[in-house]
Amino acid sequence: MLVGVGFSTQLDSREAISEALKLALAKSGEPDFTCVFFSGDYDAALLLTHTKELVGSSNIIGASVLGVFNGNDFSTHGVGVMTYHGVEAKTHLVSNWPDNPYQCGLDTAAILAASGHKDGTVLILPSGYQKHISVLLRGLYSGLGPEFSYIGGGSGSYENSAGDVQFTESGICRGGLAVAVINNFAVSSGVGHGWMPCGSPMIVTRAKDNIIYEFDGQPAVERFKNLLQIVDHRDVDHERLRLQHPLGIPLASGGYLLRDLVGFEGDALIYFTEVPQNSVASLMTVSVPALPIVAKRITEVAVKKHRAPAFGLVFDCFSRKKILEASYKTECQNIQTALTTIPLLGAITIGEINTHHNTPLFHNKLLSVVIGGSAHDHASV
Amino acid sequence: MITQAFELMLMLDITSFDSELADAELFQQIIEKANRLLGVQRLSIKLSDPYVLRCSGSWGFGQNEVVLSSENSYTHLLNDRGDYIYLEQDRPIDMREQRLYSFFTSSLEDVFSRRQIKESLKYSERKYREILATMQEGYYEVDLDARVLFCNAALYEILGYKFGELADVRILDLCVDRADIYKIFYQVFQTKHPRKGATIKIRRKNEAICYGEISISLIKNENGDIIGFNGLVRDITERVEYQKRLEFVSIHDMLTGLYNRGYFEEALDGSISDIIYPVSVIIGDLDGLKLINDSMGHPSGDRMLQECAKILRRAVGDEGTIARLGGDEFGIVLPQTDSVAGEDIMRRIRDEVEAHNIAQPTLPISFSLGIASAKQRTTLTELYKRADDEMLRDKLKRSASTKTDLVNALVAGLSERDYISTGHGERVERICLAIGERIGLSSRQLRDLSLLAKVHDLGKVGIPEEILYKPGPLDKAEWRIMQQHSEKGYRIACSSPQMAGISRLILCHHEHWDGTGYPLGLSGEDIPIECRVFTIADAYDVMTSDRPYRSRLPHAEALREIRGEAGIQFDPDLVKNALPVLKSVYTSEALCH
Repeated sequence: MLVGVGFSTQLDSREAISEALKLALAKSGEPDFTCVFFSGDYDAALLLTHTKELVGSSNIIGASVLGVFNGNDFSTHGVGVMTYHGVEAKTHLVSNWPDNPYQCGLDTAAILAASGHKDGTVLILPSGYQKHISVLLRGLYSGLGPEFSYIGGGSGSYENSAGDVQFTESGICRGGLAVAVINNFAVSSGVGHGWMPCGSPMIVTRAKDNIIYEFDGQPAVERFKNLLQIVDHRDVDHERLRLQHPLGIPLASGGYLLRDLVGFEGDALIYFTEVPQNSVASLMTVSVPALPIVAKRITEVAVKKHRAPAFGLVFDCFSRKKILEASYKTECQNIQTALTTIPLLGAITIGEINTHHNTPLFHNKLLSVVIGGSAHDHASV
Repeated sequence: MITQAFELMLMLDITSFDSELADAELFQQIIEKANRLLGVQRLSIKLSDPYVLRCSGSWGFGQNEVVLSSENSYTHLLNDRGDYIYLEQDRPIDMREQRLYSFFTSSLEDVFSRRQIKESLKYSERKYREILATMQEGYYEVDLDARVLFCNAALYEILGYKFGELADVRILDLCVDRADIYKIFYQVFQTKHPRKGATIKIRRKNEAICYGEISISLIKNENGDIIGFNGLVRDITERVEYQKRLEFVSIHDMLTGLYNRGYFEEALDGSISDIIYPVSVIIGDLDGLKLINDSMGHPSGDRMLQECAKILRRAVGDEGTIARLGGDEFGIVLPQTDSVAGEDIMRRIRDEVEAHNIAQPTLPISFSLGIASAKQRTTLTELYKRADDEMLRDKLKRSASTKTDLVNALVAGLSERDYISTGHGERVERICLAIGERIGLSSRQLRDLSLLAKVHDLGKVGIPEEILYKPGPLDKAEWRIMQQHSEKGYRIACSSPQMAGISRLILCHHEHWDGTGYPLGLSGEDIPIECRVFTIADAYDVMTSDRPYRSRLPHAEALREIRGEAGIQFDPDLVKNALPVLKSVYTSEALCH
């Protein structure tokens, strides 16, 4: 497997993609599969058109993100590409977010399974603004099974839904889903967030999708204030407070699946992603300065797991960037340092997808570091 | 590493399934929990019970068939029908995980069990509601205050209310006999025994009264406390009304509305101790009913009977019980009425009769009456016999004049009705007498001929007016009815002493010489001479008079017609004698005008 990576912050879409691809193709040669991340202020259609011109018959997958990793740094305006030679891929684009996400996942799996791949890696780039991504992932997994690894992240844009774009070589859409199944693409992951539970666990006694109305039969906001000992109600709606205290629901591995708190509506708490009613949940907290260190450890774990690393794909949650503020640069640098010379393509995403006991889960606040290489090489080392 | 506290948290999350979810959503929740809390990578649930069937499914098998592996898996059999929950993970299951899987599947089994019960209850409830909605009987549930908690559609329909209007209404307030119905409900409450078949009278929304057959049972709560009543209400209004009609018919005369003979006889059979003395019994007999029925038809006779009933009701009022004993006989029992008061009532009856006859002279009523009274110790049957005897005596006294009055009334009525015949009778009489004198009839024959000319069409009182006055020709059926007037006239004449002598002449006045006449088809000299004379005179006058359907014929043409019918319709010898008479009649009339 040959992998190439390239990045550009050129303002012009055509020039940006050209510059990035030029760098990538210099390493990979003619690619079989091309992955493109770009900030939402670019003209996605132009990016796709020009990518197709330059990569020939390569399968393409791409999505708008809230930032692209560039070596030691990141940029909220830029285009990053990774090209792969020596793989087989099949892509699929779902243009309209489905009313029945589970069935859509099953249908998508059937289409991808028709490629004949029995194993490999599934790269999933849904619109991060959509509901029930978890349900879609369950459907997709049900149709493909545990023989595949699942990675990805939610697309987004600082222009919000106007700039939220996904594409494959077959087309472009907004608010949809782009998926690729790639053969000879073995990955190992390091995932983590750095948050810990604070206070006693609660039962989500009343919730609907991403809105929690009650914990333990009490109004959700009241419970939230009690746990954090907030006296003044005005302090509740403080961005830092929201960023610092997501909700964690337990995982079999002993960790927590986080849900980002977005805001308040009366006595209800609004989260970015659905929280299952009747689940046990804990309020989480974090030592912010520790986050970049956590990021480094996560990356090191990921690198160690893979026997023949050829590339790194990073999906880092935008809320980590928000809470770290200026220190986010340190996180990026720590990741890059831990990856050493492994080529890296990273994206700041709205929600991250990684495997939990072979099954995909949709996370918030996660740093997902995926180290990949040739499946053949990974197995033989 | 998973701490005990964390494991407790997992177990708490495992048990908190939301059993209210729809089937598909519950299956998603099962996958979510199995995957997140247990690390399950494959799952299969098989359920055969129809109430939870749609919670079955599999997850994580890719495009392959569901194969239950024995490695790294946990299978929980739910029953002996082969239902199971299968969970598979990516590593061997340790003791802790085994515990969690057991906990998870038990929890799921509870969920399915509760769901089965709930769906089964929902199904029963649905069936129960469907039955209640479609049954014809009304169903009700009320609280202990008899306030309506629930009614089905049928009960709303029975009572004439719109759906919902009966909510919280006291059902007793709808009952006419509230106190009685309250007692029934109270009895059920006290005895704890349900009651069936009680009849209640209910006021519908439109104030109409209906009858219901009600059953009452107790409603009890889980503790066995009585909290209300329920039952069925069957609309038996039709049945009750039919029964009432039967009862009415069984003791009443349907034509007049008076009591009938059966009821009267039962009243007569009452014991002496029941009689309120003094008591009088009046027996009345309507005179000439047969004559009316024969001459004018039974509808006229029935009208006469109904008028009698009205007369008696007006005269008697509520002082006695009036019955029609059959045919033309009436009976009246007057308790607390001595002979003086009884005679007074008889007088009132006669006054009413007279008033009726003045108002309706064409249908005069004549009553023969008899009365018997007793102050004590005389049975009603005995009084009836005495009154009946008195009535017969009265009838005999009045018989001849009654019939004459009736016939005269009929003739007068005929004249008023049959305006065409006005003048016709006199002319025909003149012609008849002229012909009769010419052929040398006796004075008796001439008298009969004269009377025949006046009353030959007496029987027309029994002919319907629409036929009598029809402007156009009569059809076959109408003509047959018209022909009946000869026989009707004959019967009426037989009833009258004055006309009995010419009854046969009235019968035969439409016979023809050649036998083609009616009603007997007599021919030749079998036809009475008076009729043969009358026929010619009548034909001439009819031909030379205007009719609604044609103008009169000229005299000469009329004579030609008569000549032409000699030997057919008319006696040829009489025609020869009649022609000069007719010419003479014509000439004298022409001179007068």
